[in-house]
Formats: sequence, C-alpha cells, structure tokens
Amino acid sequence: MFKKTMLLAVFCLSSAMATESLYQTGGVYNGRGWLADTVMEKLNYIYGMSDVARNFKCESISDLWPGSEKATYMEIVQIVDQFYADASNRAVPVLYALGWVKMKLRGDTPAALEKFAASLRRTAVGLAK
Amino acid sequence: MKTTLLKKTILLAVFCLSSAMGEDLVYSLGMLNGRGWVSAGHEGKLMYVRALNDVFVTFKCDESTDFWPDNDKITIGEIADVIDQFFADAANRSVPILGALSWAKQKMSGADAAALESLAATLRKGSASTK
Repeated sequence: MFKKTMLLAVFCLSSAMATESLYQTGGVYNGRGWLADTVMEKLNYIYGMSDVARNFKCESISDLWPGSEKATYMEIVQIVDQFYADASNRAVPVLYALGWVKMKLRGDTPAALEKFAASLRRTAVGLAK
Repeated sequence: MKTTLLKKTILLAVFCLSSAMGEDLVYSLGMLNGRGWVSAGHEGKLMYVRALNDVFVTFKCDESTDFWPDNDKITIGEIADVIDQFFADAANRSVPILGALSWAKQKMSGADAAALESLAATLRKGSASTK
C-alpha cells in the first residue's frame, strides 16, 4: 500500500513537472501554456506585460509590446490566439508572439508576418536547446 | 411592452456605467492595482506575475532589481502569495501591483516589519496622491 502511494506521488510529481516544462521554452511561457488558459488568465498576462512595458526601460520590449497600436487588451489576446492557431508556433514564447501581434496590428503584409513567424520558430528552437 | 423595453434599456445603461466605474477602480497611476489583483483568480494572479518573470528573465530592464527577487529559487507562486499578503490589508488595495511587488521583494530579502510598514505607507501615499 505504501509502495503504491509512493509510486503514485512520484508519477503525479513527474507529470506536473513535465507539463510545466512543456509550457515553457527557455524558461519563458509559451503557446502551449497560453492555449490552456482561460480568457481572464490570458488578460492577466497582458495586464502584467502592459504594466512592465509602460513602467520599465527594457531593451527590445518596445519592439514587441503592441500597446502603442490602437487595440484593446481583449483584441491583443485574440490575435495571440490567431498566432497559436498554427500548431507549429506553439513553442514560441508569448512574449515574442506579441511582436507578431504588433506587426499585424500596424498592417504588415501576410508575407512579412509569415517571415517573422518563421524567425520566431527558429528562435524557439534555439531557446529550447 | 414599451415599459419593459425601457426598463431593460435603463438596466443595461446602469450596468454599463457601473462596469466602467469598476474598471477605473482597478487602476492606479495607469496600472492594475490591488483591487484588480484580489478579483483575479489564483491562476490569473500567476499569469500576471509570469508576464513580469518573462520580461525580467529575457531582457535587461532598468531598476528591475528593486522589484524582482534576485533569488532564482523563488517561484512565481511564492511571489504571488507574498503579494496576496500585501493586499490582505484593504488599505493597500489602491497600490499598483508593481508597488506590491517591490514590497514583496523587500520582504523576501529579509526587510524587518518596521521597514515593510514604512514602505507600505509610502506606497499608499503615492497611490492616493495621483488619481
């Protein structure tokens, strides 16, 4: 009985750890985690990103954060969802996917968006190593 | 029939107005505050902190060391729990979450109770002075 309980505990712990790592690429939250979240949870991520982007001077954040475009947080969430609708993008960190959202909002062409998405997929492969 | 429609329209208008006012209440200094924090579920709180983690882990940000724990063994859940402690005092709820984060950082770094209370008072003053 004790053995079974221990085995079950180890199994639960290892599957929780595996899920956690699946949801991150290079220690940063990715599309798999994003798609498992509710709309409210996604909005909270965007709120956090907005607060940090508007109050800290961080290198490169202005290239990624779509806050300067005219869009509501709900619209940003929906466009991030569009990015992850393509399963090949799911290892890309949400933080980088926001750069794609920014490009889409400012009217970049589908070809430019696809080129950027491909570069993000390559970045994700590099981060995962 | 007309009365019912009018009633519904008024109710909808009141609902929209109160929602709009509610939205203002959850912001201080243009940032989400403690009211927004306490109304978010546990996962929502983790998501907010996760966003900060992603930025601070990925990029170099000026002054982030005043806000973000430099001990990488501290989990996102622990940070969220300490922010919960800060907002457990209702007087702190108009403080932006980022302010609470700086308090959490001090607490996790070993600041004593007097220093923490002094910081909390400063944060309350800062949030009250700018609407």
